[in-house]
Amino acid sequence: MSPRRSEDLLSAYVDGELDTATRAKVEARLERSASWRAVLEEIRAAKRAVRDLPVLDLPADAWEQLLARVALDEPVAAPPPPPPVFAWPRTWRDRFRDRPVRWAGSIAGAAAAVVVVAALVLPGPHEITPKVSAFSTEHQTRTSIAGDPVSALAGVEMLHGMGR
Amino acid sequence: MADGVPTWEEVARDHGAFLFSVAYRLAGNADDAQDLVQEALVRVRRGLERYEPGSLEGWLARIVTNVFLDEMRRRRRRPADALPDDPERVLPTTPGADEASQELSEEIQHALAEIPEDFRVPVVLCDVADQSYEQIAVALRIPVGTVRSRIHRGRRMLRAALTAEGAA
Repeated sequence: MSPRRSEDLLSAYVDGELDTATRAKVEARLERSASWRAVLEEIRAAKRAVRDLPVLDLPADAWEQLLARVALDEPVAAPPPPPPVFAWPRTWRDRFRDRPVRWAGSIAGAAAAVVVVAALVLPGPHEITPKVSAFSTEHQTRTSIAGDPVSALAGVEMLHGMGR
Repeated sequence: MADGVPTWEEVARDHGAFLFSVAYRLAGNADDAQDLVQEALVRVRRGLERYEPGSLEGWLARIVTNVFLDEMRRRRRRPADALPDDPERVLPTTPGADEASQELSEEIQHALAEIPEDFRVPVVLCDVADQSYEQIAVALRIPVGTVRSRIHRGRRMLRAALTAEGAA
């Protein structure tokens, strides 16, 4: 141990922070060394000076400031959580009774959607449904009666397309 | 007091002077010491539930020391907030103290304030707050050997300063 580090032992000696063996070594050296004894006295005097400093009272106005400061830090107690309550599953009837307006809106919306889909899918009254087979039969019959061999051979759809 | 744990009010009332003394020896002036005590008591209030009955003053000393060290770190980050070296920041009057002892206390306090923080804090914790080297090591997060060395050097600096001032 360096001389400086070994001298540190003097403060630890004064403070009672040494084990028995180290304490015995320090005491042996103190007996031999006048310089160590001088340092020991310095250390004791310094410790005494600080230790004997008076205990100080808080300034008179400190309490008011302290209470004001602590009041700012007042913890807000969180409300205790409500106890768990068992509830039976709600029926559709209960749900409708609780919020009738909301349900009426939902039903109206669904009805409107059905009407729109039906209008797009179902055929309307203005739509022409050509009865091709009946028209063809009638035409063929009429042309056969007229005795026109070319018209009798041609298909109705072809004639219809050529007229466009 | 319940189960050996004091209320916040009891701590403030019964140990306020102890806290203020430690804070004053660390900070070196009454205004900062008062701020340290306020912050320390706020932390005491928050942490009182976790306090395990034992050395109450040791626990309080660690709290006020941590407040002081936090404040010193904050001021290092913001040098504009550093304390002015004001010689008029004198020791608060000690009730019952005569003029001579008051003057001696001021000289010792002045010498103490001149010691660099790294050495002053362990000395104050040891000699004012009566903490063991082990407790100081834990509080300052340094090895016990470093505590021993800093206390010794701090005392030698203090002695030298007092000798220079003619107080010793």
